[in-house]
Amino acid sequence: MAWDNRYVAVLRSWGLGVALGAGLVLAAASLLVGDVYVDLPMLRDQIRILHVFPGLAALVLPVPLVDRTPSLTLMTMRSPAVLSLLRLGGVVLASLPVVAALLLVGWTLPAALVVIGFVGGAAVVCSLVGLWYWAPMLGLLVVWLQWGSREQAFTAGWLWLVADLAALVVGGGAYVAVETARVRLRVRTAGTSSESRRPADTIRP
Amino acid sequence: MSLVVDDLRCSYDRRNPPAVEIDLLDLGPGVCGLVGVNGAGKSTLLRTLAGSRRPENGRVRVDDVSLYGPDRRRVLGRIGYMPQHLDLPAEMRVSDALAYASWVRGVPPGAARARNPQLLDRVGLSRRATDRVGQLSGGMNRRLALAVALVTDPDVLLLDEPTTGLDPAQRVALRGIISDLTATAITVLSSHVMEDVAMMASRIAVLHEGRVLHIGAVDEFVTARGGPERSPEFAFLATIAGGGA
Amino acid sequence: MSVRLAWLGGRWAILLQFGALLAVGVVSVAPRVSSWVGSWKQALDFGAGATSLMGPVAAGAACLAYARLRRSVMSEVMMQSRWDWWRWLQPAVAVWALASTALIAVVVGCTSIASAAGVPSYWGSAWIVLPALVLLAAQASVGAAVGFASGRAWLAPIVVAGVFSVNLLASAQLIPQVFNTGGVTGTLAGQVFTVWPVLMPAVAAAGIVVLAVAAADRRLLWATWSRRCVVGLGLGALVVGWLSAPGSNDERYELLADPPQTCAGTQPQVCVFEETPRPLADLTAKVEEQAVFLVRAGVQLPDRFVQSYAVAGRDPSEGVVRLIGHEESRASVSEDSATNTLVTPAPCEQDFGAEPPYLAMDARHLLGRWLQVRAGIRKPAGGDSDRAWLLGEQDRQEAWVREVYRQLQTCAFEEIQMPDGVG
Repeated sequence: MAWDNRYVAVLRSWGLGVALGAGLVLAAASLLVGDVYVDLPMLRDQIRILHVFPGLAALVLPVPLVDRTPSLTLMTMRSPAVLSLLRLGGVVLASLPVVAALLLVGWTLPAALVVIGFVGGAAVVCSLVGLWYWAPMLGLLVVWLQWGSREQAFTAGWLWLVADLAALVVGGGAYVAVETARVRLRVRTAGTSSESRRPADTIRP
Repeated sequence: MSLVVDDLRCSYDRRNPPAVEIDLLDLGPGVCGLVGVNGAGKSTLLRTLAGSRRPENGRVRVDDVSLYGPDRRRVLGRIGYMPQHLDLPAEMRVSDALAYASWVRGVPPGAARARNPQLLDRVGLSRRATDRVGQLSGGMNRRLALAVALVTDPDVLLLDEPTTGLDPAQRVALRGIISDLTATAITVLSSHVMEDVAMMASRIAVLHEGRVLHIGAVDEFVTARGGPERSPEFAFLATIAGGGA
Repeated sequence: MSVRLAWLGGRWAILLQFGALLAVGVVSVAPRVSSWVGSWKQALDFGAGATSLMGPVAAGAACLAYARLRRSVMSEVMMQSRWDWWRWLQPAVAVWALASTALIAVVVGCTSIASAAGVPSYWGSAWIVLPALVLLAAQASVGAAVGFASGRAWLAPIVVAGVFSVNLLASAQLIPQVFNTGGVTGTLAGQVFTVWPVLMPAVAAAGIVVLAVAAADRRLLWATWSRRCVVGLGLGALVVGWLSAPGSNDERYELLADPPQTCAGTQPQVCVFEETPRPLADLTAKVEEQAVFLVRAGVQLPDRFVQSYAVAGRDPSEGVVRLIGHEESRASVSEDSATNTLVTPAPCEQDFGAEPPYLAMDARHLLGRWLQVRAGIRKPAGGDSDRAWLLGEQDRQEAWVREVYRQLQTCAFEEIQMPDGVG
């Protein structure tokens, strides 16, 4: 496929540039301060701040999953499913610097890929609550810190890998399905504010 | 080229009367002004014609292809739609907005490369190409929305309140853009400013409470209903007061 | 619906936001419920500390509301009113009110659970919720400022992550505890909140509110000299609050000289802090059960075992209550806690010295094992180094027990001798 110079515009329009930048910042931060221990009141013991980064990534990176140009999307000639899939792919790519950083500090690949598992979780939440996705993800972050992280990250094996990929596939699949259905539903019900209460708004001559 | 609506019914709420209820509307080439008071159903009709809102009943056909049927994509690309509010992110650059719109609307890369700068020039935004959408004035935003509607070089152009926020010079420019469209193109522009319609359209459709009360040539409409002063406003008011009779 | 709530969305949206705030509040306190349920003050502190998650949510909600406001014409209308800054602040006040209500609900929930578990209330400490409420205002105003200044709703998740990260940095002691409003892991029994270290984050938070409003739009707080003075005061409050904020969580509390106790039992009597009475009944029963075997061996037990954090000022004739882990909060305690209590018959300076009293520790360990074997709680395993002694001659064991108990009671640790073949 030939290079289309509009891809840059697409990246910017979806906020993937910002997400990639945020991914790089998170990766750098995890390398710089990953060894610091934090004592959060809600957790049963101290944790290395490194364990927070997969959850932080799930807070910050999924921004492009929320459609910021819904009226253009309604007019799209491309399949809404393909658009959603591309958005999800872009977010997964933006999360790769964090995965790489976690690998560099000694996490196993299945453990580091928990970041894309989080992205899968965030995707399904995004499709349900839009730009409020971060609220449930904040709760999921605490659950992860309380029960999911700790030193297993340095030895995690294929079971984690299966869980990560399952979260991405199931969450991402649900996101694509819900977003596609949403576009179809909007095509069915899109309207103006005035029509929904037309009798009261009508100015009779 | 034809745009035909038959047995159309658009409802938002079963308890209220339909927002649009049209038995048959055949829009041929040329510019048709769609007029009506606020809430008459103009925007709903335009959205439905644009393929952005599936009607509860009836069909919209472009050259005999149903806009909400299995071949929807065959005709969707031939339609350009300028909504009242185009929700572009404030931080998006003007050139990016156009590039993104052309990508989303499936314009081939080569055609987009050639056409987009011309479109920006045509709507007077060439110097603003690198500005962010949030920095544009209201009128500039409307012109950008017009450029976005034109990215596919459409055969059917649907403009919802296109003159809102435009100064007199820009209105003249808009008239120029519309007159530049090919003779076979269908243009529908909605407005509640009768003067705009009288200046830009050759035909007029009066929409009231979702129904088309009148459709015909603008000149005949004004002559027959505009009273001794041949006022477009008077003709419009007389039409909706008389229920189209 | 009132004007100030309008920017938060419809009724259902507001209800959902309140639900989200409440849910993260519950998430932040629930995992440690077994820790704070036995102490009203700890429950209070934990509830107030829920700002660590509720604050980011308030910031995110405010960011979304103000991004919406910025993109509407109402923002300009607000700016033209006489009380522009107050009109502008209304949606943030609404978010803050929602968050505060949720926080108070969490605090009331935590303290009610503690009360229901049978611990006494200390309403005099409830003032620590006020700094938490001011901090919520600061966090909401940061979100409001970012949302309004940028007009970009998609920045909300980044604001949430940022505010949460500040909590992390404070928790890691990389910055002062400016966003710390509670969440202590100890019971706080025998301790009180210190006023200034708890209030200083609120002073900094008040400064953040003012600076956030000023940063959101220049017209709000730069319009007149009097308003600029307010900004100056806000900056001063932030600097003073930041510099005076506690460096670590421990500075928020101080020990009481003589905390009140509640006691039960007679042979011996067992006393715990009046603030954490839940384990008393079970501890007393288990201590009495095990004490029988020491008495049978001819040991002279102290009349009382008393809970304490410090040695200074303690009656040397009283034993020390030693509870394991979070048993201070629990209604039932382990046999080990009863054993540890019985093998600490006196408060000794050496236990708090720079060098741990290894010999006394070994002696207490063996004494405890002997006691548990006698009480039928434990059986020596095959590989245990003290197995032979524990299963050996009873008279020799009891002689050693009497002698070592006397030495532990008089803090004569240097005189302790472990039995032959053990230790």
